[in-house]
Amino acid sequence: MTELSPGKAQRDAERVARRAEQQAAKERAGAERDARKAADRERREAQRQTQDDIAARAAEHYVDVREWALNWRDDYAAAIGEPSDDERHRARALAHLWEAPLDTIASLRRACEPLGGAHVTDYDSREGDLFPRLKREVFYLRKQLGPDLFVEEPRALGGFGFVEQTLLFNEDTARHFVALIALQDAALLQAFREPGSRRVVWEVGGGWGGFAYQFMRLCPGVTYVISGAPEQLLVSAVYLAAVMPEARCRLVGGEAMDSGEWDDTDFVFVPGHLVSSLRPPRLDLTLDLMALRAMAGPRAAAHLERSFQLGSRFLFAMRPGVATPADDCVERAIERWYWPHPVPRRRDPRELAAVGGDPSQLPPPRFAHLAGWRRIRA
Amino acid sequence: MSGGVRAVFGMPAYHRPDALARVLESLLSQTLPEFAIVIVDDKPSPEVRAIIDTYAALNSRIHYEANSVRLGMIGNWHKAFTRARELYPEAEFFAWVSDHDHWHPRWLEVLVDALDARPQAVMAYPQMQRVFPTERRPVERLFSTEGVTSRLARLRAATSQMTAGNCIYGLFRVGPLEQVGVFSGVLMPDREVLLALCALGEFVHVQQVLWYREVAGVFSYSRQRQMFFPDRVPLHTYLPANVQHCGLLFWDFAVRGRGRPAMGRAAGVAYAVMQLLYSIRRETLRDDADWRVALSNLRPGAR
Repeated sequence: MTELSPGKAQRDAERVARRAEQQAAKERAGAERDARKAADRERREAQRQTQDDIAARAAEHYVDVREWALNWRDDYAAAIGEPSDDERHRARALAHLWEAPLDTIASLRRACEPLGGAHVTDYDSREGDLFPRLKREVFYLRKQLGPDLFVEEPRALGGFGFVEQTLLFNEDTARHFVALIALQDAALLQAFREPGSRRVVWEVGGGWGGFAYQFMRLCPGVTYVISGAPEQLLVSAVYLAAVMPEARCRLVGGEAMDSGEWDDTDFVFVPGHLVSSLRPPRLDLTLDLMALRAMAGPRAAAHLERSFQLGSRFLFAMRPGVATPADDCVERAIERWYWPHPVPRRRDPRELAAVGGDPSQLPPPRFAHLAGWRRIRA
Repeated sequence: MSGGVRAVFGMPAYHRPDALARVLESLLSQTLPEFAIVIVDDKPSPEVRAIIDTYAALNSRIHYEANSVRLGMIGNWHKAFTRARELYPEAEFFAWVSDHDHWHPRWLEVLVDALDARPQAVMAYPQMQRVFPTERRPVERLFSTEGVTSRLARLRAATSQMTAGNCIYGLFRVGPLEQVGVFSGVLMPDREVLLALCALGEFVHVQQVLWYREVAGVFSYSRQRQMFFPDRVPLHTYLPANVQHCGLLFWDFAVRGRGRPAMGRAAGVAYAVMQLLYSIRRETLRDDADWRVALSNLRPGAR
């Protein structure tokens, strides 16, 4: 019988121990992987459940909002008289939402094209110039200013866009982000983010509610009023009430709200022809994200006059980078009630370097922003 | 009449009827209402008077005085401050305002908050936007001595980084400003006042664009002499500005003891001398220093 040498026995024992250790490590890694997968599954399931809940909420809200908006549809049409081409086009494009099936409401965001500008199909592929342009815009500004002001596109109700560094964004997200930066550069945003008494903001039009969503995520202590056409409010009221379940929403007709009710409400929706009956206890900021340019001139002017009458200290307006006669008309109306202060555009230094540092060689910006300070003697 | 006034805007005016209404509206729109405006007009005219009368009818805290004899810019800036003190002795803050730039409606509220939050600060000023005829550009450069406890460190920072023409339109605590004295007969008197104030406390920069400045003519010493001294230009103004400032700081702090009790006379001597040394260093090292310009002109191909 051969006796093992002590050195060999020790080596064998070490090898066995090592193998056992490797096996245990493998099992641990496997268990961790399984746990991670399970957690991912749970997270996805929770997300799906949340989105299902939001879709269910949207369906419930749709019934109520539709009934309310339908009540105002004819009055609104009669009150505004001849609609502008933009308004007529928008009303036609949104007409199907008056009788929308549940799956359309569950992916409402995809039906917002006539109100936003982002086209779902543009985001199927990253080829083309849209993805690099949006990525450059969003990430350059996030880098320059910090992530603070960026609010990503909600995934609920069919939210779409490109995903980069886990953030979902599209043309609307980027446009609203740039508008928020302009608001900050105009020294208008900070006051809404500070603690203090509740402030009131009025957005004319309100689109599909995308800017309102971003604004309220950053400035939760605000009562946000949206006025517009009934079919527009049908979209924005359903969308906002569904994606911000904690928000207290109110659909207002001609009835008055007392100051306590204003304080207890996050979103107030009012048909555009009833803005003259709007009596908020205060108005701090009026927003026009290209809504006034779509109206006939006298109605745009009437909105600005109402903003002035309600004491709105500031106005913030967005228009295309290259102004059209409709924009000039709105600007003239703004100047009657507010001192205009154009907000300089933030430029990516790389963009400037590409044209030899000469800003005049840059292509015109897609959007321009204007801050208005209320006149004392209008 | 003067109850509830925390801040006074002192406006040394010089015939800008084209811009004055908008300036007054920007001031009268302040979200913090506890302020008054004192206007001292060095070139009175019926147009300016009419504009002021219109707004004075809306707000009783606008005071207007026309100078019977032209005082020049230094004299007028000085008078704006002294009249503000006489009319509102209890006001805690003072700011010089021009008759052509614009103040954001939140300017006073934000800067008062900044000074209230930092008792060791003597002045707060915001980010500024330059307004050109066809475009606007925010000024990104910032200067702050917040948290700097050493007065010489503050002086060094101010000498090398401060743009006096912007900072002088900040919001000042009245006490320290009165202590150092305002606007003596030297070139770049705004710079001298600010350097003297650095001895007494911190300067706070608020990173919000709250002041919109019209871009005016190019800086030059001869233009300053012409604007500052309407009758006779003092000989000492032909000395380098930093030497004038050193002499004035020495006079105020070392001889008159204006820095006491925070800063004794001996420290005042050191402060004046260090100002001169720091400013010589700055003038020598800056990108557009005379010697650099001369050298670049000597290079082949230079014009």
